[in-house]
Amino acid sequence: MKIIKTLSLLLLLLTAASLEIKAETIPAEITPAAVSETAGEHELPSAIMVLPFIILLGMIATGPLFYHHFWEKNYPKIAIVLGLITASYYLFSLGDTHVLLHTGAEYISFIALLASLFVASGSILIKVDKKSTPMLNTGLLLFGSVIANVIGTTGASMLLIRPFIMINRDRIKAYHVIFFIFMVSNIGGALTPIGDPPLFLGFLRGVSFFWFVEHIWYIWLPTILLVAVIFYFLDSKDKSGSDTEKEYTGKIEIKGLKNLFYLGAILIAVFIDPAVMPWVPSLAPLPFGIREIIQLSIVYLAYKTADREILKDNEFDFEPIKEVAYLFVGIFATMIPALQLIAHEAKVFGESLDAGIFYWSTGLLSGFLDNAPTFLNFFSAEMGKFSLDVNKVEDVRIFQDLHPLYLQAISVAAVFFGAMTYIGNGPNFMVKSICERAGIKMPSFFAYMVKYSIPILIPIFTVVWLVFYFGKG
Amino acid sequence: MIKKIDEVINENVNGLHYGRRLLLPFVADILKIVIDDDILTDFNFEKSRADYNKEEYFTEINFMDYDNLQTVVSEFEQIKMIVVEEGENIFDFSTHRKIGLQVLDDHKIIIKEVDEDIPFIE
Repeated sequence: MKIIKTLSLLLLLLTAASLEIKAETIPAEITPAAVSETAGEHELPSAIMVLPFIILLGMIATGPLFYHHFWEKNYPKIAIVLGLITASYYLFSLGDTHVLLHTGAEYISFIALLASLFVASGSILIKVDKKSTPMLNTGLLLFGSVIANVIGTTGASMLLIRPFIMINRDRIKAYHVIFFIFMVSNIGGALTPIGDPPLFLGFLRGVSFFWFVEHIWYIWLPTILLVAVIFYFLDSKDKSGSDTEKEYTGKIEIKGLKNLFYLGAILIAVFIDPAVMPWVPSLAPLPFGIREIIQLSIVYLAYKTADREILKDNEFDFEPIKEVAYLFVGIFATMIPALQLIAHEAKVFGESLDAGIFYWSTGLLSGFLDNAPTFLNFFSAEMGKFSLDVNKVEDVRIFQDLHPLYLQAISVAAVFFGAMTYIGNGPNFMVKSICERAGIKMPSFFAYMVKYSIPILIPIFTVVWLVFYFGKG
Repeated sequence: MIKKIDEVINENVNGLHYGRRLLLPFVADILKIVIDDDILTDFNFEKSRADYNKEEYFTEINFMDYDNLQTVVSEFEQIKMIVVEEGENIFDFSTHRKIGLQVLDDHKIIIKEVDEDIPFIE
């Protein structure tokens, strides 16, 4: 229940901060996008203030490897203290409460969606009594990649990671999980605004719901198939566990179906936003809306009404979401200066940036920063290049119709490159944690990149760049 | 009196926990422990994060990273381990047992074979 206490505390702090802001200075709706709105109106932060973010990233990477005991005990304090350093700088040195409020709103939105999907899907048990084969595994990863567009990468990851482990219990290796993270937790969710948070933020700014599937499917399909083929090849070469004599019934059993109702409610709640449905009341100056209230209520309801036996079978624990909640409160706070500086630079050099540069910049930063605000800042910079305003829906519509290449480049990059590190996207960390609880030794932060994401994904993403963006725009 | 692992499970004999210390009512070698998201395979070394000792009637495990086991493992979780009964051939995989421990109040540990539906990889 510590997580609930933490969230309550955070809500109180943010509410208190928000009350200091004069009502007329608050945008009608509090969306993460407003971070970039306000960024330009305030003094830029000192470059030295990127340091807490670099320290936090460095510690996330090295802590579990070199000072595990200290890290396990102290990571919540470290994340909060580093976050507070940045928050204090904005509060007392720059006098900028807007950006803190908007980042707080963005964090609450992020954690409400993640936590609700985590709890609702954690009470669903899928049993697949089939023999592990490369074909079955590849099929499951492809299935996960498709449904990630319906229930989000988080929902799909939480729903499928345990059956994926169980199917492969006699032969599972780290590469199985890594490809699961690549496909289901990231690349898969590039087709709809529900799939991944950056696209959802684009949708909230005015991009049509079906714009993404219409303009991304022909990049998504070959990419996902290429990753699937590589996985199939690797899995076919791995003969371990193939000598098992166990008999399989071929049955697929699903328990806890009532939780599909909660999953549905979470997804419907995603659209309950004043930007999408004008009749929805804004709760400004509070840093959350009706959507977050519904999603956090579902966290409580889904947990309280869950079948205890299913929770036991799933070994349900709040620890993975708690870990994400703590680490990302630090990441969200400390990355504010980095994002503002990036947004500033992108606007200064916007004229000389083509779609390829936007693709690589958004992608590489999305691997290490949260991909949602990264996307928004580059979205704003791209539109600025064409003298359009990201805060005007009509301008966004013009931009999506006249310059689809640019919007496509940052959408693809923000989602795909989330697979580059454990911190690139929320579900990555949760999948890692669930696998470690199942006894699967996962690679370290560096090993993940050096052994898997750099050699496998960077060549694929380079091909995407060469085919779709090189010398264009 | 020394008890076999099967006897302990069938007769619902409980283990004990005190802070970071765990006492199992059978004598066994421990190959792997998963507690929280920690996978422990190094024991009995000066810098290892857990060590175990086989006593005459029981096995004692000390977890260096945790002050109180009850605060680490939630009500739906278990400490999972691969153990081999004293006297069995450790190199024969068929002797490797998957044991799950539930940490309860009053220093009590419930010992069960890990359910087939729970993902636990040796």
